[in-house]
Amino acid sequence: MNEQNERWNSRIGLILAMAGNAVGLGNFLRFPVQAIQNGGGAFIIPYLVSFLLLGIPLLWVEWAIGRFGGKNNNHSTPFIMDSMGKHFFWKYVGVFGIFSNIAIASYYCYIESWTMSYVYHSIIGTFNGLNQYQVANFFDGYLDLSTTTTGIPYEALIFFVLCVALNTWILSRGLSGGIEIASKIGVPLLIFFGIFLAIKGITLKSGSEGAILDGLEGISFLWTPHFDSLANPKVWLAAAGQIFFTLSVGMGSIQCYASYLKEKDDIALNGMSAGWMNEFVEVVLGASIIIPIAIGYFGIDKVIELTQIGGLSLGFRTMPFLFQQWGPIFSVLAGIAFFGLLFFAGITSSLAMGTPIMGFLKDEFHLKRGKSALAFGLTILILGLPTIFYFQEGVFDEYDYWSGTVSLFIFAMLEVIMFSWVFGMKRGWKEINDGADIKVPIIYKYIIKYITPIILIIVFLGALFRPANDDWANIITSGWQFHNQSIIGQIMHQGIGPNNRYFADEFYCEVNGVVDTIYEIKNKKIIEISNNNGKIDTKTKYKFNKDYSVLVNPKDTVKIGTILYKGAVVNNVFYTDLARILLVMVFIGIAVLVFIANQRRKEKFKE
Amino acid sequence: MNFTALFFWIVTITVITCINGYFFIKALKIKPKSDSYLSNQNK
Repeated sequence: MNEQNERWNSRIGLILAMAGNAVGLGNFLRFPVQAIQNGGGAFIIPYLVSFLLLGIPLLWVEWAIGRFGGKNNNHSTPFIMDSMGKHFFWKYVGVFGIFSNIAIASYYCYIESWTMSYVYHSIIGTFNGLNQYQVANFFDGYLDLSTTTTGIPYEALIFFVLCVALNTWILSRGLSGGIEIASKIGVPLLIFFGIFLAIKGITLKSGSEGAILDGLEGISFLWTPHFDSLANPKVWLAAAGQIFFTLSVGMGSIQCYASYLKEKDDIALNGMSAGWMNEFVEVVLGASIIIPIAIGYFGIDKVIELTQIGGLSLGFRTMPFLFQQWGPIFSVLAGIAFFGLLFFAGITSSLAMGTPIMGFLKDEFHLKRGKSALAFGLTILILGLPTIFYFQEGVFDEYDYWSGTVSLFIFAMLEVIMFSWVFGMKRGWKEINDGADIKVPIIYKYIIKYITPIILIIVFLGALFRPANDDWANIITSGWQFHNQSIIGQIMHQGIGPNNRYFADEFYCEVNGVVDTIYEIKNKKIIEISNNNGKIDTKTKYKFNKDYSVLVNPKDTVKIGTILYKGAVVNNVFYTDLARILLVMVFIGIAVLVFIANQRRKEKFKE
Repeated sequence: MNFTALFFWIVTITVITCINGYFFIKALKIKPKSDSYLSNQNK
């Protein structure tokens, strides 16, 4: 097939690829934790309201923008938005639609590589006989530079390179020959694995296989509706945020996939089908795996504690231990199924992240498919390395926050404003309905024009000015202190603690607790501090050069600000600021490419 | 065991599964337009 005329080969392939783009690790690891922390079963109410008022409209808008772009042979957001917005400004807004994909793919492929590695370790039986603490330590060691002899985390690096290579290879095979085939295999398999684990989790019986509670107790806990939580704006913002992330909107990948449709191809029904498939995987399967299984073995209180440190941690530091309780054969099968489903969820999303930059390079610089895939692979390989080497220093989280959260909100907010107010809702509505195989309710014309932009602006402002402790009710009476995770809080490095200079001569303790042990591994010293609440798997570890002088002893009580050791300290804030600069440079780099491409277009037009 | 929660759960997953199934089957049943890129879905 001519590379310039790439297309989807079948409707089911398109729907599965779009659904695979949306279904990601967050469906299984983020959603259940969000539900527990935001009203239990009652969370589904703001969640579904957000899906109807934010998710579905954004899906239709992005599908429509993409298909419109495809008419003029544009397959990436800068020139699609340029053709719709008629002002040079929109071209550069479209840069977000390439930037987010590249930046997210660079750390997302790293998580994806963990799942590959954990499938491998499940097969070879690495976790057999390990206790919970050892399984958690395995994960820490996997991510940790200092546990290797050379300073290079070989295994993490090797799996990352393998993962990037696999993504690059599939992308180089094109839309129908690569992505579509991968989606046709990956999505059904992940659903199959999900059903297998969900049944196993729900049917867990107290007293059998070491479980202390029935799996249904976990379902009961997760779905107990706390209706009073609906009065809290935090819950509504969390639901809107979850819908936003789970559908992969605001990235530019949906537009790119849709740009390979023809003018009269349906987008209304395809969009609904892919969107609801994502909801099925998230609400029906995602909520029935990690929480019921974890509660079955740990009980409710311990799981509440574990969810505080996030779904990723729960998945990788805890699940392999729990699977072992099912015996040698079943634990291998469960490990393959769980990490396999995460892998398929991950790769069908990361492939989607590769297509916008490939579309851009092919459209504007006439690169062949193989070369553009290679350019994407090399870019995310290079950009991903800091997240591996400086994971502990917070570079990974920094990428996630700015490219995986802030950038998406800004882009989605601007694109929906552009679509409904600049391009015009009359034309926009026609775009959505052209070729539609279902009747789109007329009310969505008004939802897209008024409600969705307002919700996005509110969510963005909420993220910008999020108050400390999410205490929206008392911001007037008790003053407006920003949450550490608010955009302003992040810009100001709020909550960074006592180690707030790039370079220092001493390192201060960042938690209150008791020094547990101090030991040496190879060329590093490690101080382990048990937090006051005694969480064994959230023990704080500080690693540093063995030549530095330690100023505390085992059993010492320490608090935030206590000097732990003296030496030439480079604090995390140095690395996180470098990560920010790197991300800004990537954004500017793409904007420059867009500028050059625009000049080339102008010259071509003159000719 | 909280039976309200289980009821809530069963209703939610049933509704979402049915809606998902409805749109997915409908999308596969409707024949794409003859000039569509997707017209060879039965290949």
